[in-house]
Amino acid sequence: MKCKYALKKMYSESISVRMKQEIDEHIAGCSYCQSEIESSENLGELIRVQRLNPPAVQNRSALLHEIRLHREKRQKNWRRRISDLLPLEPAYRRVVFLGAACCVLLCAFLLVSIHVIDEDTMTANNDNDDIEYYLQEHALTKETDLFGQGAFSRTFISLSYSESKIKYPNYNN
Amino acid sequence: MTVDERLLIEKAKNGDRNAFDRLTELYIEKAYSIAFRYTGNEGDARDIVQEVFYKVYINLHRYNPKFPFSAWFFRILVNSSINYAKRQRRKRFIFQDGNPKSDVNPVDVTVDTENNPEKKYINKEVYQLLQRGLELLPEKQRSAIILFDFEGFSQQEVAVILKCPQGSVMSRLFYGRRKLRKFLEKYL
Repeated sequence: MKCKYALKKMYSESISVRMKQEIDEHIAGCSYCQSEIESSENLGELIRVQRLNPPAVQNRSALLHEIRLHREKRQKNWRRRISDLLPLEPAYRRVVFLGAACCVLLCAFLLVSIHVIDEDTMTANNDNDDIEYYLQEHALTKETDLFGQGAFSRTFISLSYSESKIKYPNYNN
Repeated sequence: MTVDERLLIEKAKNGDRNAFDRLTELYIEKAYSIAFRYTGNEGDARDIVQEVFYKVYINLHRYNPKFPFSAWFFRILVNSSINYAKRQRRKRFIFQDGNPKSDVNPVDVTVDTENNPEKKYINKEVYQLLQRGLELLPEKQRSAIILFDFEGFSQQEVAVILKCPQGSVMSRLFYGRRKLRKFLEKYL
């Protein structure tokens, strides 16, 4: 086994027990691998000495103040305004927002549905105009409408020619 | 995590700024130390610490209390430090001579408790070299060395912070130290 491979796979958790055993055996008998591991540990020790001298925070209170200022500055304005307007705990504030959002959605739904109803009325009026035009074009009157009062005509207009023939074979214009 | 800390986190989550300030006080030293190891520069370390505490404040509601707060906090710190260091390196590369050397002066920033001036000097020399060597390591190996060797976290803790198996931590430590040793051999 090559030293490079042994050192690479030494800490691997995805190798088989047998392979692990082989690697351990190789390292135990290889002076190069042992010296590599030893020097790595020695360097670890050297670095750990530096741990005793951690970089100290210079002017700790100033840094704390800076952190606070930075936080205040970075917090989005609208968020701060909302929290000022609603001095509640975030959980309650969330419920209020959710309620408000539901109300807005409900209003939007109502507005849209009213608009759709208006559109339907408009379409119905247009349909009536179309019926009049159709009857004139085919020299028909509402009286000739067998089913009376334009109700049939409206249904007839809304159907295609072939559909109307199938559905009302006796109606001949 | 102590009961007190858990209480502070809970209060901070509910928008108590004073509780968050106290939490900041608990972690500021360690955060600064790690940020400094990544950047090798006091000003940059301060910037990172400010940004990290802001990020933690904004995302505190995302923290899952089932896991240790420190691991969550230090993961944010490590990621932010790596990103910051990358940005700075890119800036230095573009606007200066392209040499990614640190402008750190460890004499000003380390607190040395030793009274022996010779030992003090050697420590500073070694520290300076280590800091320069660290900058040349790949991110993953650097993170492992900073957290395990410099900051004294256990391998298990490092694995949680870096979100990788413990074996990977050991392997990163081994290869990182090997590269660092090769770098130091040129000077020592």
